[in-house]
Amino acid sequence: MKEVLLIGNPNTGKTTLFNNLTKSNEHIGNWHGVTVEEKRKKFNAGGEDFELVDMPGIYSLTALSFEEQVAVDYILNGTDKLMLNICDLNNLQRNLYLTLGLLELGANVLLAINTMGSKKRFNEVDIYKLKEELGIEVFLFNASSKKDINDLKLLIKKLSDKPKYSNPPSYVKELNKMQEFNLIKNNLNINDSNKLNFFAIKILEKDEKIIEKLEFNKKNIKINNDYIQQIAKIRYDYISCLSKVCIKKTQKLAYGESKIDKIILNRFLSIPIFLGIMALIFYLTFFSVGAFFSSLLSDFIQNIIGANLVNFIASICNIPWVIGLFENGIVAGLGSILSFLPQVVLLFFFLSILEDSGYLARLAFSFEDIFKKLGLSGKSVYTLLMGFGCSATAALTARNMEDKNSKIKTAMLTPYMSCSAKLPIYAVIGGAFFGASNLFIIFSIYLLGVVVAIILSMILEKTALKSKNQSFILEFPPYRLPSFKRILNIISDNLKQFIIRIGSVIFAMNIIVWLLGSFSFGFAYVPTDGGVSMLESIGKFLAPIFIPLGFGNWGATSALIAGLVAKEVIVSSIAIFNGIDVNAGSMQNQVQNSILNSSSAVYFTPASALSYMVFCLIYMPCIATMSVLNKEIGTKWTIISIIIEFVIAYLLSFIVYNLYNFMSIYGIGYFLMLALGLIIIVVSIIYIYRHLKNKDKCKACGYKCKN
Amino acid sequence: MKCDVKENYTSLKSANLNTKFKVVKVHENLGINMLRRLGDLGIVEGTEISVLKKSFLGKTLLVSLNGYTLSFRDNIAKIIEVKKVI
Repeated sequence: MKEVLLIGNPNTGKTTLFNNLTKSNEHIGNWHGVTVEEKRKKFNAGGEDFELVDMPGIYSLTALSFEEQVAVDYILNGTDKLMLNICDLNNLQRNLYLTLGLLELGANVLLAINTMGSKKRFNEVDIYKLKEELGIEVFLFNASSKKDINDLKLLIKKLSDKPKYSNPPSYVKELNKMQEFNLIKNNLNINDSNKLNFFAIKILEKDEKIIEKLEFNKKNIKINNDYIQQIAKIRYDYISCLSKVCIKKTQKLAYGESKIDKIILNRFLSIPIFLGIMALIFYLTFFSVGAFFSSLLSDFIQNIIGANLVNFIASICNIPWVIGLFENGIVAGLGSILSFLPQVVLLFFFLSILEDSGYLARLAFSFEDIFKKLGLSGKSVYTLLMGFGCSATAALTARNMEDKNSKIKTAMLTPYMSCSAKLPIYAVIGGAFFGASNLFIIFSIYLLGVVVAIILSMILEKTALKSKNQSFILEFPPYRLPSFKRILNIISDNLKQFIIRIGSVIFAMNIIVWLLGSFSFGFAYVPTDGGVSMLESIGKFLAPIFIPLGFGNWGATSALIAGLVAKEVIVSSIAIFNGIDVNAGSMQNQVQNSILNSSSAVYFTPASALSYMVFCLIYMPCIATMSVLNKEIGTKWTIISIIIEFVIAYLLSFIVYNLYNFMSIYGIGYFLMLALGLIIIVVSIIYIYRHLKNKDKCKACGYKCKN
Repeated sequence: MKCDVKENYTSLKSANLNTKFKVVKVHENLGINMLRRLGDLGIVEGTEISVLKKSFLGKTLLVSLNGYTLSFRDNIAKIIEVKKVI
């Protein structure tokens, strides 16, 4: 099968086109670097099957980061393949720079210019003139138009049947007049004479990978660094000449510049605006809209499906464990998670909207100053924010970080962002104890995760993982309103993923947890025959570890272990252990009442509930996240980060538990005084430390300079 | 560092907001990879560039060039030598 490579600058709609051509559903967003690894899928064009390869965005054929290298290697190893080069019409000049690189390579290029579907275009382009000037096939398309996609398929078929290898752009002739260029050419041994010019240009640009590959470093020819910029200038001069003929600018503003940015990027308002948006998202998800739909769904599952199913089973077979399996193992276990479906989908929906809108790039800009001090990059904002959805997929996006240490750090910090799977824990346990003030509790828990991540990042920056981040460069995409179709797409996609997850991993785990929690080692059904269940025996063995944290009962401990597979299982395990009666009142209320009762398998006091929530927030990422971390940052750092997480979770839960207990004994006033005293002591220590440190510094500049 | 020899050129770092400048030279201080990336993005001799906005602490810049916008830190702005367009 012939391969077609999808090549283009970051955030030009490559994956959108990929999805439309192959009818798939890969993740897209309005941010550069959403795609961090190659993806491939079959599609049919004109009766022939092709394989489309979607690749991370690149700016030129010299890679500067991990994910760019994937794309560049692929292009250089497959020069005979058809290259579908996507350009963003609104930013055509910059996008054509990469096209020129492909032309120098003499590849079979199909230039597809994406209008990005916007009515307010920034450029107009004369396709016929551009075709003439570049000598390649040029196609203007709108990714959401079916006709354009079909026409594009026909063009792909045509060009793959009759490859039209491009001629090098005219400036290459000028380069051939240069002395150094000829010197390089004469010293290169390449079989393929067509590529001689391309490699000579790359060597003039000091592309280390190519110099190494062609063993040019042994030749002992010195090349001036000035050529790097000179060649870029030659290309851009060519483009500006091209654009005089074929491109007309239609807008006064630059692409990505927007009037709303006056407020959103305001020095003092940008961060409060962000916090406001996040608070609104959490409020809508946890309380108003999300909670409303959750309780509707919960009632529906229990009264319509659950009760009928269990009663039906009970009427046809009267074996206690079969009824128990359906009532506790399936209805309680799945129902306790499934009822959170609206909230989880809503959270993902808001995150997708943030991602699509183009706001995240502004956020990276606003946070860059602060994040730089923490040893992160402004780009970490994207990964960390996605971490509120799912840690595993978010950790993967750390790949587009500039240097290795920032990447490791960002990936390590992602699990501290409370993921959507932990949402039911706070809602169920927190709701049982704190009622209406749970809004405040949940917000504090999320904030605690962020604060711990910030402190950890500062410590790592000072010790093991000093970032060498020197190269924060980020493009500003324009603001984009998601279309109605896209909104439906986001919702249906998340619904599907969530249901598949519940139907597979969580369902299986629930059955396992129910089996181990209901049968003793002698296979006696505990609720009727008595005895000690398998999980109870194991849990009781481990539970003493958690006595200092307040939840040293076997149920809570076993739930934590089961939660390693998927965090949702923590809540479903609690529901399974405590059991429900489908014919009684609301399922969630039953679970919440049972954890208040000290005779249940899982029970909490207000103090231990808080400490349990804090522990669940941090203790360990789920298996999926661990395996992503292992792949992205290596086994060593994965193990280190898991140990750090466990220790921090243990310490924080210990502090929270005991502080709460003390507070209820001595009252809040006592603690406010204590906190005030501590703050005064810490501030004065910092002040004295700074004062002493400044003593041996140069008086002129305030730094330790040598003179 | 403050004790470094002062640059003897006007850099984008000290450029006024919303004023048109022309790139004179991109200096090598941040290594050749930075030269290359800035070249890829269109920051080469003769490009017209202007600073649109600065961040909270004034260390991150938002600039416009070739009809699009880009944001980077002042360490990069410092190596871009510019002159005012009259």
